[in-house]
Amino acid sequence: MYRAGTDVGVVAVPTLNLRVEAKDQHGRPVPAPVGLAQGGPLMPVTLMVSDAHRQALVQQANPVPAAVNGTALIDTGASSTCIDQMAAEKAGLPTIQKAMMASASHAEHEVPVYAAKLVIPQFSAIDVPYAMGANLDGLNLIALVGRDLLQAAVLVYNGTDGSIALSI
Amino acid sequence: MAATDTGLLAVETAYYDEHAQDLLLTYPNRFLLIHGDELIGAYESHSDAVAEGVRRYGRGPFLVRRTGDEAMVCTAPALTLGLLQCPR
Repeated sequence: MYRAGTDVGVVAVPTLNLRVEAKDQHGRPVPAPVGLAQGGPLMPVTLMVSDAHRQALVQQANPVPAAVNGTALIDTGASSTCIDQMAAEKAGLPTIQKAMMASASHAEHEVPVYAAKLVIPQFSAIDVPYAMGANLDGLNLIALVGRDLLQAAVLVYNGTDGSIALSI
Repeated sequence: MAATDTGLLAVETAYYDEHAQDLLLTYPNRFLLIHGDELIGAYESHSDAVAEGVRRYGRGPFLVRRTGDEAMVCTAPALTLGLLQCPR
């Protein structure tokens, strides 16, 4: 238990601070709190093969697929991180399992599972050993960052300021 | 074993399911690499198993699964209920 004035160790943790800068359909700026409420907590990410995958390709003198840049939505409702299947294809991710995508109101369906690496600005790369394949086509998203990654993170959703802060 | 399923990784999953108990006893807490109805290897780490899978089979598919792990289930209501399609 800590008391005021107690000297506790402090560890510097990299933090991504993002304030929403959104525009409406007419190109007019939208207040950040409204933009965050409408669009959700979005952040830029880069999707690529894992380090082990890259090393295996290099050892065999095979080309390493180009990384895919895009936007991810932080989704606290998702139990696992989901990757758009088209983006996974472009990034050359390997299919290493299958999973059931469950829903209370829809029939379960099978999805591929990829081994991936995500790079979020200001953080070193994050391995995603089991990323679920999803169809995010038309959403301008390449990933949903789920609770498997968030379990090692601190997320501050500041609705009044229209900003998020993420530390992993 | 029955290898008539045609779904994604159906043969590999059937192999794993059929031998799950033996695999767990023989390779506790190891990451298995399975291709077709063949166990290719048992590795200490997920990344080692993936690397060997990539070396042999490129992007796959091949199965990487830790012994004792349950089949994977994902819930993502915003996705499965189509909520992300709503106007934002």
